[in-house]
Amino acid sequence: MKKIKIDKTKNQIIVTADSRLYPLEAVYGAAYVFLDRAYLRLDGNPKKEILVILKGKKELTEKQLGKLRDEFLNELLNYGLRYKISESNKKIREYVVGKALFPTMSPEIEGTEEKDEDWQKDDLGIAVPWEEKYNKGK
Amino acid sequence: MTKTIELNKNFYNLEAVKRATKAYKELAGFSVKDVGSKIKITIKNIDEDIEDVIEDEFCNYILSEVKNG
Repeated sequence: MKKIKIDKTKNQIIVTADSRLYPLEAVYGAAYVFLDRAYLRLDGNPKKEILVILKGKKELTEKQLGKLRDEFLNELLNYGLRYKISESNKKIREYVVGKALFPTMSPEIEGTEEKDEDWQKDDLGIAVPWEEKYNKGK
Repeated sequence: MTKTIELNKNFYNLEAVKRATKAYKELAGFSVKDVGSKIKITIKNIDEDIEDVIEDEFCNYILSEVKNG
């Protein structure tokens, strides 16, 4: 959930983003994209609500402020998703980089360790030679 | 003219602020104080050509330093 306030008199927008939905890294990313278009300030509590104050670099109409708000929210969503994907791919990325940098070493990541297969166990008797299996009685 | 900026330490860090003051040192005089949960920056002797924008531009610069630092 996010709250948005457009303040025409101060030529600014205040976006309050819930940090459970939009992590701080996503907010930094979106803010960074807007540095050339607006003046930005961050405030609030990164564990609860993050306040992003966007101030127009030049005098903006209400419509322009609305457009700035919409574009910022899109960017926030974009960076939120990027962050989630990068988090979910983190281990495999580390593994791939590890393999590329140190090919002889085998950095283990969770879920990729080779399981000790109990191949010597032969419950079905497949490993027993044909002769042994069928010539017993003869 | 003197301007004061207070930045929340949850989002900004002292190192980024110091790097920004270094970059802006030709344009004004800066003093930085760590006050509880805030970083208090006082800007003095501001170049009159940039008096209106220095505060906001400086904050943007700090934010970029935080992101890239």
